[in-house]
Amino acid sequence: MSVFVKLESLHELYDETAIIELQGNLECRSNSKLVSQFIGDLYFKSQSDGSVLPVLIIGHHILNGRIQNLDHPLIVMKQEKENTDNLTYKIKTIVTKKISFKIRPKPIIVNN
Amino acid sequence: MEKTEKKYLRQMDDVRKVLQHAKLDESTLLPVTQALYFPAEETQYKFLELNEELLDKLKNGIPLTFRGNKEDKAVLCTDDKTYEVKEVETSNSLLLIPDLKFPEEMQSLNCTERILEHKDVINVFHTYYEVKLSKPKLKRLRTILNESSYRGSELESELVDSGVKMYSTNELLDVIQASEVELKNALSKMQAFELNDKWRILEFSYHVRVLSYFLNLIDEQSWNHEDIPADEVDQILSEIVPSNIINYILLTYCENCFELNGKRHVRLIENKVCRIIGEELLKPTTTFEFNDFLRAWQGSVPEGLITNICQLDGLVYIDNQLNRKVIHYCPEYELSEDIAERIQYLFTLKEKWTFEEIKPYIEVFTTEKMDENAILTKYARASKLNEIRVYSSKHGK
Repeated sequence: MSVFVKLESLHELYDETAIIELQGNLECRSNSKLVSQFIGDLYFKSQSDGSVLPVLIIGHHILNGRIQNLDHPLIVMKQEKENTDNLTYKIKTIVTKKISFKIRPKPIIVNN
Repeated sequence: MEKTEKKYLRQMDDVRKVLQHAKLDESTLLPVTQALYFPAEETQYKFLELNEELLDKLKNGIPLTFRGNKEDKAVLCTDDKTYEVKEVETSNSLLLIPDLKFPEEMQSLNCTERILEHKDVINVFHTYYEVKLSKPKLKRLRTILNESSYRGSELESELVDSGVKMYSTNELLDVIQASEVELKNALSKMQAFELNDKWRILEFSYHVRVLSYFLNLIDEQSWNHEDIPADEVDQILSEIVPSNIINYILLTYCENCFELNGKRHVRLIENKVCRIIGEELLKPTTTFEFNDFLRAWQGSVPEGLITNICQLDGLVYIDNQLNRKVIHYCPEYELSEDIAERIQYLFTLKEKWTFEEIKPYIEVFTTEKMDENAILTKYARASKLNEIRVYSSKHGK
């Protein structure tokens, strides 16, 4: 059996698709489904040295991360049946950047 | 379609409130807040990590192909290379988000007010695939070509009636885990040929029989083996062998010498002729006393050709035990394609191998990064026997 991986045209790819990498799993406290739920706010924060670092706020946790270029590009593909017996993976996008949050989240303490 | 649960949409008020709680100075933050949401429904995507070389192939319109049967380990092929595919699992969550804005883009925005943008994650994943350059898997090729091997024109209809499958190039690529270039190389190394668009090999005894017709003819006509009139060969032998098979034998065992008045003159390729005659002698018995074999072998090749044990590289190994030198028939292509498994097996055949002895059995595994020496360092143990370096099992005595 041959299954093809095809890139139809570079223009069809999503623009600026990136990966956000988080440690562990995202779960909802009430155990309800995650479908369409709000996750958090993503910011880029200017540092005193002129660099810019990503910040993600999820619930009452604040995460500090880094923007990284992937060592190897990651292609995102979806299986498609061209005709009855030909399986094809169409490439949806090529990811070259990721924002990774690898440090332990810090809690936000509200003192009213 | 109205959803039962209405999606919470992030509001600027909430954004500001959280920033305040988090004690973040808004003036240090770039002007776009990107609110992230889980997908409404997960799309089934696969993630594949590629190196630049593979990516360039794709960009140049060369498709990558997963090849093999369901029970095979997955491989990915370009037009000329084969890669093993491995699944990588991470305990981290990877969120795939299209149209994400990055700092460069935000910095070029000329805005005074904070902008709130909503971004849907399209997939959360924990596994992806990575590829590693590997060797083509060719063992099945020999098996399936053996099943339909050509045994003579009178037996062809019987073969067709038996329903045995014959394969074109594309049909082979569907079942063999190799790139097209690697497959073609393997077919040429196996001396396969195309007959009615299907790849075939000659059945061994038929092969030897037709070759012997040819060699006998040279003898009968007292032709010099360096100057054989190809057209005459074709003319005489075509009474008993189909013309395409004669041509195949001429192409395989001869090289062109010169043309005289439009007539082709060829010469025998010594190494190839000696190799197959040696194989014919060894195949039925599989072992032979070394000196007896050398004598019988030299006696079987056409006059003027000289046998040399190197001509049998990858077909035989020599065992020097108890002052008795024995030659064993052991074709390299019948051994495992797994490097560790193969080397382990070789050490069960014979405890200690010199570099020259083991080389023909491991050279198929060599890559740019790993030569025979590196392979032996990794999978065998070196020691000295009578001042000669020998290799033995890593875990043996």
